[in-house]
Amino acid sequence: MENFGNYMRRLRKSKGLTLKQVENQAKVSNAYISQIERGLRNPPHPDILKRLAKAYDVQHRELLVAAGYLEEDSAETAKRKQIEEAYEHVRTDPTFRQGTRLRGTQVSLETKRFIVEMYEKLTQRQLLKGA
Amino acid sequence: MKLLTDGTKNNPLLGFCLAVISRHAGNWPPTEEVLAKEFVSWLGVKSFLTRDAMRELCLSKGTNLSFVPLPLNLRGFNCSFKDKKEIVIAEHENVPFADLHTLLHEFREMLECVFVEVGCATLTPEDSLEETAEKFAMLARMETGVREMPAYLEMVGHIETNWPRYFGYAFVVVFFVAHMFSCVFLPQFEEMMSEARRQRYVRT
Repeated sequence: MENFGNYMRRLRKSKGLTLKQVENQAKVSNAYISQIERGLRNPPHPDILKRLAKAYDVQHRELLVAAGYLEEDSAETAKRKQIEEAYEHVRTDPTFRQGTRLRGTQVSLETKRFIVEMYEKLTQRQLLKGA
Repeated sequence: MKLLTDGTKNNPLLGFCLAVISRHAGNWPPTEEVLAKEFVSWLGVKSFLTRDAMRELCLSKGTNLSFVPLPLNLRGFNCSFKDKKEIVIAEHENVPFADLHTLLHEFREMLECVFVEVGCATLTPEDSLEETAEKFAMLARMETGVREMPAYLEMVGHIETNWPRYFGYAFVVVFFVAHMFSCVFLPQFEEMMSEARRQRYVRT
């Protein structure tokens, strides 16, 4: 599994945020965030993760799992895996063309799921079963 | 070419692309300005359109358009499979004219797919389709303003009394400048609005 610091840095970059912007939004010192990202500090307290989750616009649970406070639910993991695989199938199907107008560059799981659902609608093929 | 043109009846976008290719075959690819101008003329898009009018316009060109709640970071989506074409725009767009901008952006992406399919891509692998589509949407919206401006000026020219006519001209010019300003800076406005919304979310 990806180390927590790298994960946090990747998340921040994907949202196009600077350390200063995160500091302003989450009220967490930018020096502290920088140390976490460089692996010089342990994952912060869940309360701080809650504030960071809001600043990064992700679920609190997602950061708790990444920090190792929570085990990822196996049903949740299976669902995520199914969506990722279905999205990969959609992306590489040469008969299906798609494009997006996104805020930022990261395609969220929710967006991937939406794209797969559109694929299912247009092609009449089912990729997601109960996900 | 015959085989390709045979398919244009069910695929108006293909028809448009083939017409563009034949007009600019000697000097391929056309600039984004030229492409935007020709597209606006073909689609008949205006600077102000209700969502229903947009839906009808798209339908007349063989494309389904819908406005639905989308994931927060997704503003628009387009897809095509065989002759079916769909564009989906976020229902929660709260910047004026953002939906029209997104619609034009999605159309540009669809056009590029068609150009690639017929072997006449307008972009190189180094070019970003996302950035090109943004530029195209901006230029197309500007073009709608340029096309409508003479009609508004002519309408104002029919006012017989001097001062109301002068006022009318001033109004049209200010309106035109504001429209151009909104075309150029719409993506920045969107960013600001999204940021403000996120800040509100963080505070609550």
